[in-house]
Amino acid sequence: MNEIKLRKKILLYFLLLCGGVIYILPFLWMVRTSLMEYAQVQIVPLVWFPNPVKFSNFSEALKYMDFWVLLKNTLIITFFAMIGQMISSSMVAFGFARMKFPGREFLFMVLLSTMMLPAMVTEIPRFILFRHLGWIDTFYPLIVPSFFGGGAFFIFLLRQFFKTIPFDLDEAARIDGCSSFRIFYQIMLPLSKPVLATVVIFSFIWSWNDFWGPLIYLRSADKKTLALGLQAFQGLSQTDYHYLMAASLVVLIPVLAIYVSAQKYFTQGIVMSGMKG
Amino acid sequence: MRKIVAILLSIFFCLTLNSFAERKTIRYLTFETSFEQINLIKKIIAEFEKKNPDIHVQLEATSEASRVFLTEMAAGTPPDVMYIGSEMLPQMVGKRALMPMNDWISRDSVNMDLFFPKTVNALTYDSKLYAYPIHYSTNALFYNKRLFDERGVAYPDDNWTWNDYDKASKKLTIDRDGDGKPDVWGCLSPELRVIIHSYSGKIISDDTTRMAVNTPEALKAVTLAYNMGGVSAPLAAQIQDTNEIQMFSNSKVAMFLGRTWQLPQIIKTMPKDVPWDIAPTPKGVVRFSEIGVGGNCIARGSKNPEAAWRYVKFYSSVEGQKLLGVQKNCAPALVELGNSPQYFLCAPPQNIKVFLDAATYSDRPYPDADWTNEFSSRVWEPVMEQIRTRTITPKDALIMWEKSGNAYLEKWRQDESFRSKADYAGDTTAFLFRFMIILMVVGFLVVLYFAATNKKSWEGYFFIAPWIFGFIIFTLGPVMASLYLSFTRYDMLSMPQWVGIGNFSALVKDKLFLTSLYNTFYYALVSVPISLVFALILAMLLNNKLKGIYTFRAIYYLPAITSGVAISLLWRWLFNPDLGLFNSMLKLVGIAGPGWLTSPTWAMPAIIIMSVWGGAGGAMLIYLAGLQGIPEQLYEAANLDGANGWQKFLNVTLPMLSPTIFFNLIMSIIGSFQVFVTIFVMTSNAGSSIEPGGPVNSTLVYVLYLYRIGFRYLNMGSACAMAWILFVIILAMTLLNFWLSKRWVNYDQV
Repeated sequence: MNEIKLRKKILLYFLLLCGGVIYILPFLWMVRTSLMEYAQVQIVPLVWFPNPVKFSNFSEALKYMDFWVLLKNTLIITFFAMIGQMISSSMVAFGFARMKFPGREFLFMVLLSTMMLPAMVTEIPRFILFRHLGWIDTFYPLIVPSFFGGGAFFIFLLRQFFKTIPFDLDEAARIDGCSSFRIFYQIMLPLSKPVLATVVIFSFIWSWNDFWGPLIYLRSADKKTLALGLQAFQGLSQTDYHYLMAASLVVLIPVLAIYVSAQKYFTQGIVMSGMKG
Repeated sequence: MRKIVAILLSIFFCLTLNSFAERKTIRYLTFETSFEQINLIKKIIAEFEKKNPDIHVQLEATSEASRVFLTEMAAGTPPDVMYIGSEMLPQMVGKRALMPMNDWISRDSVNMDLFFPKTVNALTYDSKLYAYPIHYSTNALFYNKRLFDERGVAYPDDNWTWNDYDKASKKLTIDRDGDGKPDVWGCLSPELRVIIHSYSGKIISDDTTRMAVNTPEALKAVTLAYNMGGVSAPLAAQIQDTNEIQMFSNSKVAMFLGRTWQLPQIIKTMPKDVPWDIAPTPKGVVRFSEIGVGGNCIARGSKNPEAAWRYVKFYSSVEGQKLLGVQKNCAPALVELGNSPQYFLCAPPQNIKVFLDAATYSDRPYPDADWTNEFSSRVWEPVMEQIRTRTITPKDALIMWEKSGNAYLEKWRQDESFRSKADYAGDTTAFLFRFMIILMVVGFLVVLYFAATNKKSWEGYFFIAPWIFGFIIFTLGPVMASLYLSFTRYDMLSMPQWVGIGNFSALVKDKLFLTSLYNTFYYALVSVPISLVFALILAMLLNNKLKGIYTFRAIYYLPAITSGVAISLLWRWLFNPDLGLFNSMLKLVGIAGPGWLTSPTWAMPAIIIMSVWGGAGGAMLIYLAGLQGIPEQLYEAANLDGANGWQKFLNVTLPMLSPTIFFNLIMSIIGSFQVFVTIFVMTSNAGSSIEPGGPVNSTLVYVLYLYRIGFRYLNMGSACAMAWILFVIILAMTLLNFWLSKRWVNYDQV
């Protein structure tokens, strides 16, 4: 029995490692480029080891892109957008998954259909709208909509998970005199930690890396975000790959940190013991 | 408390100071984003503000300046001044979006003779100057002296003709390892427009009514270039590096017809021990070079045109331009600076004067018209592509150009009635805004009515209320506006003109539209199932309780967060026909790999492989979240029944995971029909006029074409029509899957 388990383990590690190599390659490429001199980056055939190793690329890149200002802006936008998306999308998803009301299926289709029209064609009307609200060159267009539903993707995702949780739970709670809001808050949310962690990860990454939103709505240099700041190394006639990759690596660290720390919620497999089953 | 008082005081101070100074703010939008150039521009601005204390210049730098500019123009809030290239100018002039500068010039009696005449010409339409020249870029022959010496070929000089170029390139082509494939190419296929013009051929007649390309002169030019392909100039599939500069600096090509803006990169990447120089463009009957001029334009609708003009004038003044120091990315438009060794005329390259001389014989490739973008990608490039791949004879190429060009020009003439009405209207915004507000009000009334008639269900409505309000405020208006616009001719600059179903019927007749539709279905139908299964396998692997599994989970998620630039560059390398990892590995097993991104057959599969790889992380994460929700006791029960691993997967995991699978299915359908960024990045060619979506439109997917029509051809009405057709397709697919899902998706089954 144990030998079979061991063999299975070795096979698993082998598979994971093989795939892992292909998956980590671009990251390694980033690291090697970030430590190179400009002239070395483009040599063909590809050179994998920087010579000389230039750690100074990092400090120079951060200086050129005005890193700390951009970091502050990005943190503000990402934090509030994430909070908004968490709260409102879980609420709305609960409504669609667990409540009964006329027009629910129709409204849900309307919700999904908001993802089906390419955003390019609503870009200009939306800009006009925000312009008349006086929101251009402020963070509002990037934050406020998150509090109003938080996007069809998250609502749909959470609805799928809420729908798998036994309805018996709601009924039992209602008999005990629980309000819908308490069912949502005290039963549904704690049972959905893995998927809420997923929402956090996605929401963080999307706001953090969002390029188009900030590009169109933010004008002044002191309001720009990190994703926009990376443009400082992509000029009209040339790209400073060594700086670009050094800066991109620094920008990537918080994302990786969020991802790793959210992983914690992926192990606490939902304990449904004591329930029907 | 003290702190608060201090802050309030300082705010008050700032406000009062500002109101005393009454500074006007003008916005300056530029394409240039590199920190080096931005710092130089800031210098000019600082000096200008010092001289003009009443004006404040707000610098806005973005690589997507034209899209931002169009959006801002449409919203009636244009930046006052924008950097513009002469290739983009005709479209803007045609829509009357820019202010002519002649009145100011004569009022301030500015001496335009300070500039190279051709730079002023290139920015002038109907004898009005629409952009104030800054610098220009022309052609020159870049050559690698070491390779010339190696083969004993004399360096190109003033008397070189295209025949000399042809002969030299054959001598310079070297097959070092004797495998029948050249390792060093004599040259790169030169831009045909240039050769045709230097044989005094033409592309379009001067009155822009018909094609003038089917002539013996042009045939001579095309034949010359055609015969070089694959012999002394690499065909598309034989190009090894990502761009011509790389091939040149890696000594893989001995010479190529380059442009001024490529200088800085060549200077930076060329190894120190490899001597190189530039020579004038070879002659045919005459000498010809294409000119591109950069200048600053002033948008109509600018709130402070006078201040904008002062800024534009200062920016291009000798004083202003001197602040930039040595510039090698373009030649200065000012004669004085161009001739000065301190600002331009200094090595490298030795023979840099070529660029100054080019200012006398270079010209725009097409006559004035506001369609050069669309002409180039609809008429010019498709045939060019066939010439580059040698799938068309020179004679047929000319006939095809003539045919498709004349058809295009004919269509363009029929549009005259729309064009004559096109006039920049800042009030489109007010009009669209009113339209959206009315929809918002109607939306709220409907909701109120609904809520009032279904009072019993108020709890349900309460929970979805945030979305309802958000939908009505932020989404309904823009969505309906785009629906309205799909029935109009709308160029983002002038008022929409109603055309009924005109956009839709024109699309159905458009071959490229059908191609893009086919490509999108190809992409979606292949990539959706593969990525769903692949991500599920990954998730199953990563759901094992192993040591270090967190690290693996992070690694497999890396592509989702790694810089897109890094990913695209790496994949371009992986797919490289000769040097790439894939083909090297295939070679080991004795298979000659395909050209991947350079092959019309293999480009789409390559894109699919890449997007399955890159997209797996997100879907995998969602699967993982779903797997955590499956209660242990179900597996325990299955164990008791003696089920093996596969049976457990089929009977427990799959049904329990079905809501998650369904989610990933719907999302990947929606996403894959709208695929854009991956393909845009992978098929773009920096610095070339070739639109993404190649080779031969094999990766031209729906939204890529939509983008091209909307933002490159400025036909937003048609783009909206396309978007709504796609909407219907995706909606149909989604509804079908929701209907099917009743058979296989299990909710609440515990």
